[in-house]
Amino acid sequence: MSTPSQSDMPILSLRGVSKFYGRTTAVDNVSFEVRRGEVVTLLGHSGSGKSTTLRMIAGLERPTEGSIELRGTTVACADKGVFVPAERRGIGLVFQSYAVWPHMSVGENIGYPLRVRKVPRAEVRQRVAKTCDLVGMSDFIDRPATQLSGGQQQRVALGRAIIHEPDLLLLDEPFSNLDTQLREELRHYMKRLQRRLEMSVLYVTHDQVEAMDLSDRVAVMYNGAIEQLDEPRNVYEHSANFFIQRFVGKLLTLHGRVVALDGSEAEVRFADGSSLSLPLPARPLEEGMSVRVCLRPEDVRVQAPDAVVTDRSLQAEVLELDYLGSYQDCRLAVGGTEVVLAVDKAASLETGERISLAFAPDRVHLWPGDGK
Amino acid sequence: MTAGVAHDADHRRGVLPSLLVLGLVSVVALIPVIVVVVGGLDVSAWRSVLIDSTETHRALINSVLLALRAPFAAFIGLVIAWLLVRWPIPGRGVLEVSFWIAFMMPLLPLTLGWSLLLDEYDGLVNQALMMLPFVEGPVFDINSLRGITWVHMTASTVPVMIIMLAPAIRQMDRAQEEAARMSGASPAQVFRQVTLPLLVAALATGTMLGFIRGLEAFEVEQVLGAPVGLHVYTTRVFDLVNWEPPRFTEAMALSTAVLIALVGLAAAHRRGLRGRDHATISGRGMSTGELTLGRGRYLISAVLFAIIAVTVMLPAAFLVLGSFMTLFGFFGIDDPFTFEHWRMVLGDSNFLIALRNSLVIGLGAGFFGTLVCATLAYVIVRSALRYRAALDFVAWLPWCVPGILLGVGLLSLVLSSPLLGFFYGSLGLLVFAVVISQLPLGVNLLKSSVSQVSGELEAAASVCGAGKVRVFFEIVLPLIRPMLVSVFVLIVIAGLRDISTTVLLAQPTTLPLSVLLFEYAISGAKESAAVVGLIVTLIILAVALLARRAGLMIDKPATS
Repeated sequence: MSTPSQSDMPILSLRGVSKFYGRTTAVDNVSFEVRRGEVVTLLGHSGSGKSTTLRMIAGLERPTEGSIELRGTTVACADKGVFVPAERRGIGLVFQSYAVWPHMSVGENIGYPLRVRKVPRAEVRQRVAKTCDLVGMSDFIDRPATQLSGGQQQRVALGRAIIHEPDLLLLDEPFSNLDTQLREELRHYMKRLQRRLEMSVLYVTHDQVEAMDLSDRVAVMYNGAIEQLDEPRNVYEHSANFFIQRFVGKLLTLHGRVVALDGSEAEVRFADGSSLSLPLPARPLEEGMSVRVCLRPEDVRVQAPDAVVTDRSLQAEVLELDYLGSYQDCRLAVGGTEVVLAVDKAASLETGERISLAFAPDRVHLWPGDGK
Repeated sequence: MTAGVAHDADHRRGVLPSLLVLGLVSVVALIPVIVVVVGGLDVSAWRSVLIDSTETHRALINSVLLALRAPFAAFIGLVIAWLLVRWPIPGRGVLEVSFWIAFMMPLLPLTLGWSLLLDEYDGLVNQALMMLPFVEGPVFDINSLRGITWVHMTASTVPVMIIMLAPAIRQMDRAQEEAARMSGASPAQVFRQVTLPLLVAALATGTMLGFIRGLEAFEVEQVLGAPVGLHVYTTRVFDLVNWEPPRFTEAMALSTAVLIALVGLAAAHRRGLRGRDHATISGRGMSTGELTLGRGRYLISAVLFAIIAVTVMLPAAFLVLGSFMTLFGFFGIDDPFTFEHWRMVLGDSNFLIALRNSLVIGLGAGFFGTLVCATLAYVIVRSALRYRAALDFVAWLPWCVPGILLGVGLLSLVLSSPLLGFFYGSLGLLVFAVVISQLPLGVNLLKSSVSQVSGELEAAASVCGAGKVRVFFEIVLPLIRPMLVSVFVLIVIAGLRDISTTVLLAQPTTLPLSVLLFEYAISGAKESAAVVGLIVTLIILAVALLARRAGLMIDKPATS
């Protein structure tokens, strides 16, 4: 479909898009682009505005402000009153509920976009067969849609969304209604499929693992706005703020106070009186300021309290151990705060034992502020 | 996700199309009413018919007295429905179908059956009782307020309540009643202390519905009351219109006054229903739990079967008998039984025309009405038209317009306007009348059905490239098909049994069976009336039973 001159043009771009329902702001001044062949994820809690953003892109909602361009053409612009309805945008969409029509068979569901486009019957049959094959539903082509499991419905919904070969596919929490194992299977399947069809894909999810795994770039949404838009690695390792860092993975958070600043390091004292000297972050700190000291669990090593360390370390006491199969959850008292750290199942720890947590200083994030 | 709601919000524009739709529906649904009201705004007519006429006063009082049966019927209906739904009564399936049949049956044929039994002079029951030594004169008189009340209670009001209240009971969590039993309450205590308080709201709305329907009743009153000078306001309106020359203005003045009262009552009823719509019409698949019961269940079963036998089978049997009688009601004459009336009716070309008319009206109203109701329901539930609340109200308004008033309105409309004159004497007019009268029921049932269709199923089709009309026909209609079939059947049956709406509009060439039956009945040809009544009843039962086998839903969830 794409000509060479179009290929570097984004397939989708949002500019200052907002959506208000009465006084509530569902989406707040969102701007981003999806390039051809790129996979972008909108990641956020429920109510963060990600689904509404998706529905505006699909043409199921009108933006209250801003504009949306698809393949270089404006499809929605609040100022000019432009609005191209969903049926004329040529986008594929997989709904969270799958929205497989119960009054049609698997083949009829999948072939519907072609029927609407008045594709000759023989060709519809042939392409349905091909798509069923692609989504692994060939054996079910004549089965009523009511007799499908969740995973099968998901595949039908996917087949229906891609049969007309859209250059942009939207997926609204496509895996959230499936059990863990199936979810992982389908995720890897989706990845392969996307590469094979070279589609541009926009996911919406609240699951950061999905987002990390599937996307070229992740847009983290909070309260209707995009807080950070970057590659998964950067979002995880160089989160733009505390909220994002906590949202995109497990995090140990200690609460302390800056007691001294000396050019390159800050000394933070914790509630139990212990203190730690840490490299200064890019954000300005002041003496007396409350800070959160954050660490990824995988950056922390558990050691004997008297072990010699070249890195920084903190003393901790084991409060509780929960055996969870592949690992144990270890509840610790560190610097006057209780945190939970997953430790190796083989680690022979005991309740009441004193240990030391060691970590590289550049792995620590200092965020101004307190509270959870 | 609030997909459906959100989906609505973004088309919330377009004042002009909104007004257009609203206007169109209003014209269809409201014009007859407006004609009545405007025609009735005549001071002298108000004076003559409402203030000076003691007949009107008495008719109005009678109407109210007759409508007062509603709370009793609601209570009896609740008890029977509760027994049927909650207790493992032997023969429950048969009982349910029987009450359902009673609910569907046309009233007038059963009325004829009752008049054979309870006529003051010739009624068999009276004659049998008078053979007893201590009975002096006739005990029962069907041509009285008590008689009319009895016919209504047995043949319609109580069965209606059972059909209406059963879903509300099914919706109730069985555990609440079981908890009472576990606490040591007897079945009677459970009913009194748990079931009844929980269903007070349903009972109240049922009563209100019964009251309004009571005020709208017409044909039984006309056949039983009018010959002995016992009038209600509907029969009075009928009289005024049939006067030579017709006293339209007075008929409409009386109608207007009653309409105002009815709209008030109906609005209160609607308010009571609000928020309960879904609870009564749709189910969430909660277990239709039964409670356990000892040997008492045989007694209860026997009582319920006796009720069916006396209230439905008995008059039905006598209706059959009556159709074979030489002289309706005279068992003592030499040669009391004959096939003559059957031969006469079946050989009469008028009968064949009426049969054809009935089928045309039933099927025509069924198809046309279902389509109109579905479109309206969809627009009201799904579209974001600006005035959809008003549309909803307009579509519901005919609910509180008595058939006879709708008839008066339509009649004076076609007679007064040369443009619509061609409509007079056509079956289209009757189809139209039946559709308007069934609009509220059809729209409401389909509304609940449409609202159960997930908005994402429609959005999915839009995303696939289907336009709005296509989505309606290819996604929405197929998904609500079970309810479409139900609404179709209900309108067909309404078309077949309707008398009050069509009686003033039917011409000799457009006379349907039901009105033919009515004319036989009021003109004294009761034997022929019995024959036609039996045929109408059989047709309706056949349709109703077929529909039930096909899964007619009045009280079941629309889509799963």
